[in-house]
Amino acid sequence: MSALLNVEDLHVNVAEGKILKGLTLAINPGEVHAIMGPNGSGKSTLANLLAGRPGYQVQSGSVTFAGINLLELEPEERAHAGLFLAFQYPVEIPGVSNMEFLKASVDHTAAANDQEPLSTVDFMRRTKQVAADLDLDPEFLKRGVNEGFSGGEKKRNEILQMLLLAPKLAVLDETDSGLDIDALQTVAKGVNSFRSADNGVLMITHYQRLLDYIVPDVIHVLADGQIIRSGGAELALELEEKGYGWLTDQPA
Amino acid sequence: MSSQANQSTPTQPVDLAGSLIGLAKGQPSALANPLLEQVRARALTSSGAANALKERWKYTPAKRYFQAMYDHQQGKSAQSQPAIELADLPTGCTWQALDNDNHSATLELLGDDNLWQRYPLADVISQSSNAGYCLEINESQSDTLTLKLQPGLGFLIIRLGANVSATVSIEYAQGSDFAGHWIASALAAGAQLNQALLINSAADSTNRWLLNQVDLEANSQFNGHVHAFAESSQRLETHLRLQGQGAQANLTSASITAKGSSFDHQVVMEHQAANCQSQQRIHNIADGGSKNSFNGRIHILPGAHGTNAQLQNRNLAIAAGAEINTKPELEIYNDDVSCSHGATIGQLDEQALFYLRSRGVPPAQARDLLLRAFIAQCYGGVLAEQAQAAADRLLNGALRR
Ligand SMILES: Nc1ncnc2c1ncn2[C@@H]1O[C@H](COP(=O)(O)OP(=O)(O)OP(=O)(O)O)[C@@H](O)[C@H]1O
Ligand SMILES: [Mg+2]
Repeated sequence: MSALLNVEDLHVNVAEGKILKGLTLAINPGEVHAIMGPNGSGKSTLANLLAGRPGYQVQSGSVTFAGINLLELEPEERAHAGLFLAFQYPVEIPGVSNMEFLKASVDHTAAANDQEPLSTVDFMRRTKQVAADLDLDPEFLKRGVNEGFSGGEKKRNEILQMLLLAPKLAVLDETDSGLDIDALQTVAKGVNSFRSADNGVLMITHYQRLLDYIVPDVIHVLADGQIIRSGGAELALELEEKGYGWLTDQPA
Repeated sequence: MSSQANQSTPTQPVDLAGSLIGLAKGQPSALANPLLEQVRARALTSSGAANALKERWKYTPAKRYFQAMYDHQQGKSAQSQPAIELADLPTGCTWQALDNDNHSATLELLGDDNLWQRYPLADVISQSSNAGYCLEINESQSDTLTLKLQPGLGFLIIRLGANVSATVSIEYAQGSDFAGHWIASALAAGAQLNQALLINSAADSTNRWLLNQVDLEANSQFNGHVHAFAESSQRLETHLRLQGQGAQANLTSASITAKGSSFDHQVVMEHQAANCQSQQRIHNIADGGSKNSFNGRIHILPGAHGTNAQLQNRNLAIAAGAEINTKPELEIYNDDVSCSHGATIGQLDEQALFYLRSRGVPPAQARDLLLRAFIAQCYGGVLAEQAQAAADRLLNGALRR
């Protein structure tokens, strides 16, 4: 089975600083991986690099996504290829209605994959259904993208986009932060409904709690730009108990 | 207090204001004529300084504007009759052409401080008695009154009676050449005027120049919405005077200048009475090779206690070689006021662009969505839909790349 995402010995600089220092990670179709790690260890850097945010310099290493060299693609091409990043801090875009934005997003992605676009009626119906599943009031679809949304509403709006775009790999950067207990369960339900034998999920989180709702196949600990430990669900419990010092204080 | 943000290629020296001033110093000018002499003299005395006049004309090709104005005033260029058209005259309104007698009487009504002497256009029009009209609105109107501005020089005074509310839309006739108009609206106590303006000039038309003056008595309200989409040269002078207690003025302005064009918007918001409020939201877009200028002055005069005045101005340069000039100015003779006044010049928000691209929207379309959103925040009033259509034509045409 060939990996959905294959990151090999990746070194990345941001603004002259070395952030990722030889990161290796492989995700197979059907798998859910979780990345945990201290603040500033490079988790969002990895997520942003995958999505193609400008300003990240790859020094060495490779990233292969669904068999293609991801690093050569523009951000929109990565989206068309099936990569999705739910941002840690989604931006507000006043004046662009959420619905208009979602339609543009879905239509361009369909067109790039030689698919027929959904009719406006079907699209609206589907979007309203997904919003309802996520307990998002349909009024949010009329508002500006993330404009004045609460922290939790922004996160649910990210999951809404994920469900509409149905990517091959969804990278969720602290999507659980800022969610109340009910919203966490709603979002987890959304992510679980998205899981299939063909796609993958990479969740970045600080909290073991999320992993109770979305059970990962593999948990990685990212510290100082490297994955220093990988394991099963029991690793998260151990981390919860002992903190990261238990791992990072050990001599390499 | 005054601040200036400037991001521009060097501007050419403006010679008309220069030559007005030159005349003041006794230097000869190609435009010298008796009328110009008078206008110059008054402009200089009323504004108090040659520099102020020069400042107001820094970004408009003054020589062309003044020449066109004189040609019309002296009958050298064709003058449309009427210079301003009202589509339908509803009940409760009167429409009257101003002749020699009532022309000057009407001018007197505008106030004894001769505001117009500050504005050369008004000064010249005030001496051209055949181009003026007076619209009196004595009953509240549910339907919009539609005005069309024709080429040439025109003057209209709109008088709203006490507690009367009305909506007025103002557009230009198609394909007009030079158009210089002065519209003075006088709101009696408790009146409300909603005014929507669309300046939508095609590339082949020449200069458009409008002085939009509004005087507000106690507890009256003005809601003004400017939409200017320039493919040629446009100048708009907006002068609002809050003269009675509790008056309120809200202004939005959306403008786009396409390559080879310019828009110069000069706003004066004068708080003369206590407890008045003003709000302004001004968004401008300049394409490469165009010039978009905004000068927003807020004057808070002695006695204007409890004033609340807000001005927010944002400008986007969307290509190299775009010139944006913005100069917010505050003059406050009073402590007891709340005033905020800000201007920014920038490019499209990179974070937002990346967000859209990460969702599969290609850069050209992402940029387009953001531009439309930026300018749409200042559409308003009864012409909002037409404004959007006009802006879309520009964004889909001249600004598309
Ligand atoms: N644009 C930038 N300029 C300079 N430093 C940056 C930039 N972006 C990230 N960094 C630095 O890179 C390091 C890793 O940041 P990153 O956001 O990847 O951490 P993280 O693991 O996601 O942390 P958190 O758990 O707090 O979200 C940090 O030290 C951060 O300050
Ligand atoms: Mg992070």
